[in-house]
Amino acid sequence: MMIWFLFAVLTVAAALAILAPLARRSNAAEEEGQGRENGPDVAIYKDQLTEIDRDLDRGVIEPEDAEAARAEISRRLLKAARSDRDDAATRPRSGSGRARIAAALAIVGVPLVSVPLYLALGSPSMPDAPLAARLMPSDDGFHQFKDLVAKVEERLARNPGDGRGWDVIAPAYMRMGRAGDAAKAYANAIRLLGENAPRRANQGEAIVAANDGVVTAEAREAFERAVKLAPGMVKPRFYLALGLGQEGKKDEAISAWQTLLKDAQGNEAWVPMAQAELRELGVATPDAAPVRAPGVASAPGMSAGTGNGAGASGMPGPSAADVRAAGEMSAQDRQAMIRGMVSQLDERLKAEGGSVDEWVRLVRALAVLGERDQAIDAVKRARAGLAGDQQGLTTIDALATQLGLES
Amino acid sequence: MAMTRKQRRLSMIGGAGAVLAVAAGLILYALKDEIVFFQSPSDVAEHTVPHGQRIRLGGLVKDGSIDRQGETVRFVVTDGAADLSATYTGILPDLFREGQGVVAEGTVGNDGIFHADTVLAKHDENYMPKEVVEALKARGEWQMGADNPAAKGAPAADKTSQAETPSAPASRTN
Amino acid sequence: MIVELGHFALVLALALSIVQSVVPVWGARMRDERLMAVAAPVAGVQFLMVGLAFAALTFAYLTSDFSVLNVWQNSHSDKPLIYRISGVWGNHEGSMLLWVLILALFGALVAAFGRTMPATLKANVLGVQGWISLAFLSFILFTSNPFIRIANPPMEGQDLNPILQDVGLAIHPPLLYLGYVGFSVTFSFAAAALLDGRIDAAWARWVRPWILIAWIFLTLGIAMGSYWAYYELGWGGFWFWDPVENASFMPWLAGTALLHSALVMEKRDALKVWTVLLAILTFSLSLLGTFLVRSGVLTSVHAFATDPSRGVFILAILAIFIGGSLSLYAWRAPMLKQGGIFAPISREGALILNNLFLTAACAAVLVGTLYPLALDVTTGDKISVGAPFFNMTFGPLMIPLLLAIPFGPFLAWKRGDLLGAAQRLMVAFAIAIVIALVVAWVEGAANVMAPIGIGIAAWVMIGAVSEIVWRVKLGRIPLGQSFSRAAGLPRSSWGAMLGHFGMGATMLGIVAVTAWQQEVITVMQPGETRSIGGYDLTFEGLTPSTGSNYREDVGHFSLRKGGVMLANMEPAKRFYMARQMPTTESAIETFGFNQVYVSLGDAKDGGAVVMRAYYKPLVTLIWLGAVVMVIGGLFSLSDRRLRVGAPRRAHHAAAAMPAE
Repeated sequence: MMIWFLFAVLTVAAALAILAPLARRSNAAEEEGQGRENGPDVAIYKDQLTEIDRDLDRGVIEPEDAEAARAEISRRLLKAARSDRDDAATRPRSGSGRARIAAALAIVGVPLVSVPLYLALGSPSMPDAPLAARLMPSDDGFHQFKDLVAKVEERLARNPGDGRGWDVIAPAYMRMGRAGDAAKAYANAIRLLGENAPRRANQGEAIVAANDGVVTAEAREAFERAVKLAPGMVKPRFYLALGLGQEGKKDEAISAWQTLLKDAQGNEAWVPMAQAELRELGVATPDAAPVRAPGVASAPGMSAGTGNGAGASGMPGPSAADVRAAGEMSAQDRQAMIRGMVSQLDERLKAEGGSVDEWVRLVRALAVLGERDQAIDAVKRARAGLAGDQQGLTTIDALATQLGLES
Repeated sequence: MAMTRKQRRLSMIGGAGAVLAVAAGLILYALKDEIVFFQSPSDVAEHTVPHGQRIRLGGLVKDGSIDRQGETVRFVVTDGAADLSATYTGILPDLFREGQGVVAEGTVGNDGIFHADTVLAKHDENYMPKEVVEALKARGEWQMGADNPAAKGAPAADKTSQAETPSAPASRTN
Repeated sequence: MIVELGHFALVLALALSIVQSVVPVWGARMRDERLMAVAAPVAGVQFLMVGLAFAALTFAYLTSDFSVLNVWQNSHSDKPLIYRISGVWGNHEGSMLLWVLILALFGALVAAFGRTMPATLKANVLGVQGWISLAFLSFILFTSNPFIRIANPPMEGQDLNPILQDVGLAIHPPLLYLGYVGFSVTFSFAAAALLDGRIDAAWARWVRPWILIAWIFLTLGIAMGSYWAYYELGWGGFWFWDPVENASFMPWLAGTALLHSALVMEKRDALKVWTVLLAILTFSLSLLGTFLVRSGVLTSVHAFATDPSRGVFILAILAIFIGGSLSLYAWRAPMLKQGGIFAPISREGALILNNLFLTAACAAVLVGTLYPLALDVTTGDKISVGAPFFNMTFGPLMIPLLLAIPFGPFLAWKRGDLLGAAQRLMVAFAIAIVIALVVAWVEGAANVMAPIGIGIAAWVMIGAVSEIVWRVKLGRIPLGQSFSRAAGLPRSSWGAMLGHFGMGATMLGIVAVTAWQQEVITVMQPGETRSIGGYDLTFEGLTPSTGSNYREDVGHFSLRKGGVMLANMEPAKRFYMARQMPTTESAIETFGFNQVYVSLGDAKDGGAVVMRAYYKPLVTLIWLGAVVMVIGGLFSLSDRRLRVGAPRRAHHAAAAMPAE
C-alpha cells in the first residue's frame, strides 16, 4: 500500500508543476509582461553599441567600419524596440479557456498516461531484493559456496584439462545464473570425461537458459544425444517437447507431451508445467489449476528462461518447472537450494547414507575443491556406510588411492 | 579595392567551392586507394588478392598451429576450405587463442605467407569478428555444434554488440 | 519498492514530457503567458523524476539487487564500490538512462537560467527539448527498460567486462554525454527560432553559452576517452579512427564550427542561415553517433537486421528529428534577411574559412565512418576504413586551417588588413621557421613530415600568444600599462588565445609521438636490460598475485637513466576468474611531457617474458592541449557578456572577441 501512496505523491508533484503556473492570476502575468516593455534583445543591442567603442579602441575594427556597424546595430535596436512594443500592444489576454484545458490535462492526462503505462511495464508488487538482506539467514553458506566456486575456477584456470573440475563447477554456474558459463563448462566436461545422459541433458538445459528459454538447435542436439544415451530420462524429453512447441510443430509437440505425461506418476514438479503447455497447444487436460506463479512480471523480455539461473539445479526434473516452483518457495528454501551441491550431498549422505556412486561423487567433489581433510573424512564415512558392500568398498579404496587420500 | 556586393559574394562562393571540391576529391581518391578489403584464406588461395596489397585476413586460428619463437608468432588462419600461414611480430591481443576467430591486417608476401602488422581482437571471450562469421557461413563451415567454438561465439558476439567495448586494435607494430 | 518507485518516476517523466512538448509551444503560438510559463516548472520536475529513476537504479546496483534484470546482467557482488556505480551506465539500458538524465538536466538548466530570454523563445526551446525527451523516454521504456524485474532473483550477478572496470570508464561516458546531449539545447534553440520566425544577433548571444558548455564537455570527454584507450588497451595508441570514436568526433568538429559561426552571427547578424543549419547538423551528428553506438549496427549490419527493434526505434528518432528540422529549415530559412555585409578578407571571412574546413573535415570523417556500412548493405563487400583513409583526407584539410588560425584574431571585423596581420605575425612566423629548420637539421632528410608538423604546431601556439602580446602592446608601452591592458582584455579574448594555443599543443604532441616514438618488443630474461629513449629498463622478474576478482602476473622492471634509479614499473597480465578472461595492465612513467610505457605479453619458460616498451616523447601534450582548450572555453563562458542575467549596460571592457 505504501508504494501506491508514494506513487500518488509523485503524481501530485508532477501535476502541480503544470498547475502552479496556470493558477497564477492572469493579471499578474500581464502586468509582468507590460513591465518589460523593452525586451531583452533591446538590452543586448544597447550593449553591442557600447561594445563598438571598445573594439575601436583596441583596433579590432576600423573607424569608418565602426560607423557603419553602429548604424547597423542602431537599425536592429530600433526594429527590436518597435516589435517589442507591438508585441506588448497586441498581446492577447491569457485565455482562461486554454488554461482550463491545460489544467485538465495536468489533472487527468498525467495519471491517465502514467498509471496504465506503469501497470503494463512495472511490477508494483515486487519488493526490492538487496543481496545483503537476502543473505542474512545463511550468510556463511553463500560465501562458502562462492569461495568454493572461486577455488575451482582458479584450479581450472591453471589446469583447464581437469574434466572433473568442469563437472563440478557447471551446476554451480547454473545456480549462480551464469548459464552461458555453465553450458561451456558442461561442454568441457563432456569433451574431457566423455558424454553421459545427465551431462548432455544438463548441457542442453544450460544452453536453453542462456538463450532466454529458447530451445536452440545446439540445445536440441544435446537433448537428442541424452535421449539416445538414456531413453527414459525425463529432462531431455521435456525440453525436446518444449522445443517442438516453440518451432510451431504443434502435432508433434502434443504427442511428445502426451507420451511424457503417460510415464508420469502425477506428483512430479514438471507435470503441471507439461499440462500447461498442452493446454496452450489447445489440448484439454484434467488439471486446470493455474501454474504461473503470481508476482512474475509479464514485462517484455521476461521469458521463462530469464530466471532459470536461480532455479536450475542438479536435482532431477526439468528446471523450468523448478523455476516456477521456486517462485513459491520461502526464502529459507531458496537459501538451502543455493547452499551448494557439495554440502547438500554431504549432509544427505551423513544423515541417510547413500549409494556407492553418491559417495564417489562426494569424495571426488571434495578432493577437487581441495578440501583434503573433509575428503579423507568422507572416505572414512563411506567405508562405514558401505560396510558389507564388498564391491563398493573396493571402488572407494581405489578412488582413495587414485586421489591420494590414504590417511 | 572596392568590391561590389556581387563580387564579394562571388569570390566567397568561389573560395568555398574550391575548398569543397578539394575535399571531395581527397575523399574519392582515398576511398579508391586507402581502404582495405576483408578477405578469407580461400579468397587468397583463389588468387584474387595481388601480392603486396594490404588486406584484412579473417578466419579461425587453426588448432595446434601457433608457434611462438621469441617475439615472433607463426600461426595458420583457416576458413575450413583453405589455410594460410601467417606471421606476426609483437604482442598478441589477450584473447588470441587457437580455435578462436581472428582478424589480421597486412600483406601477402612473395613467399605466400601473410605478414600481419596488426592483429585485432575485441575484448570479450566470445567475440567473433562479424566478417569471420559471414565468411565462415559462406564457406559452409558454420555449424551449430556443441564443440564448435565458432558456433558459440557468434550469437554471443551479437549480444555483446551493446557492450561499451571499444573495438580497437589491441596489438600492433608500427 | 525503491526500484519500482524509480520505474514509476520514469513513466511520470514521460507523461510530463508530453505536456512539455505540447503546452508551451501552443502557448507561444497563442502568445499566452500562462501556458508558456508551464514549460519551466515542468522541465524542472521532469529532471527530478528522471533523477529519481537514475538514483533508484544506482541504489539497486549499490545493494546488488539482482531482482533487477539489468543489475543481474551487469554487476557482481564482489565488484568494488566505484565500479558498481559506474556499472549503472556501463551497459546499454543504463547508459540510455544517463543520456536522458543529462537531457533533462539541460532542460532544467535552460528553464532556470533562461530568464533573460523572450518568453516565446524560451517556451519554444523547452517545447523542442520536450519532443527530444519524449522520443528518448519512449525508447527507454519500450525497448531498453532498465527496471525489468526477475521473479526469482539469482544469487550472483554476471559481472562487468573486466576491461570496463576502470576509472576511465567511470568518468568518460558522462562527460561525453554532457557534450553530445548538450548540443540538444542548441538544436532546440535553432528549431525554436525557426518556429518563431525570429532569428537575429540576440538569438546568437542567447545560444552561445550553451554551445560553449556542450563543446567544453565534449572536448573533455573525447580527450578522456583517448587517454583511457591509451593506457588500457596496452599498445599505446591514442586515436584509432574507430567508428565509435568518430561518432563523438563528428559532433565536435561541427560544434567547433558552430562555436565560430555563432560569433559572426552575434557580432554582425550575418551567416544566420548557415549558423542555424549548423546547429541542426551538430545535434543530428550527435543523434547519428547515438544510433551507431546503440543500435549494434557497427558490430554487424546483419545482427541489426535480425533484431532491429532498438535500432529501428533510434533510426526513426533520427529520421523524424533530422528530417523534421531540415524541413522546417527549408520552409523558414528563405525568409531570413541578409545581415551585415563584410569583405572576404575580414574577421568574418576568416571565421567562414574556419567553418569551411571544419565542415569539410567533418564530412570526410562521416564518409569514412558510414561508407563501410553502406558498402556492406549494398554490395556485401567488407572493407575497413582505417587510419590511411583519414590521414589522406582529414590531414590535408586540417593543415590549411591550422596555418590560418593565427591570422583570424588579427583581422578586423567587416574589413581586415591581411598585410598588417602578416606583419604583426612576423615574429611568430620567424620563430616557427627557425624551429622547423632546427628540427629538419637534427632529423636529416629522412623525415620530412616532422619539421613541417612541428613548425605548424609552433606557429599556431606562438601565433596565439602574439595576438595577446600585440593587444596589450607589450614592449611598446610601459610594462605596468601593458598589465592593466591585459587585465582589461575581455575574458573571451583570453579564451580564444587559450583555445588556439591548446590546439597547437595537441598537434605538437601528435607530431612528436608520430615522428619520434621508440618501440622495443622483445623477450627478456630476469636481470636483462634494454635501453629505450635514453632510459634503461631492467627486468627483475615476474611474481603472481591475487586481486579481489582476478589473478595476475606482475612484471617488475626498474627504470634507470645514467645508472640513477628513477622508478619501479609494474605492468601486469590479469586473468579475471568470473569471465575467464585475460587483460593487460600497462605501466606508465611520466617525465615532463614524455612517457615510458611498458606492457607485458606471454610468459616464457624460465621466468622470461615477452615485453613491449615505448618511449613516447611529448605524448602528454596531446591531452594537456585539450585541457588548455577546455580552460579557454571556460574563460569564454565566464565572459561578462555571456554571464547569466540580463546583459547590463557595458561601461567597461565590452568584449570583442569571444573564443574562436
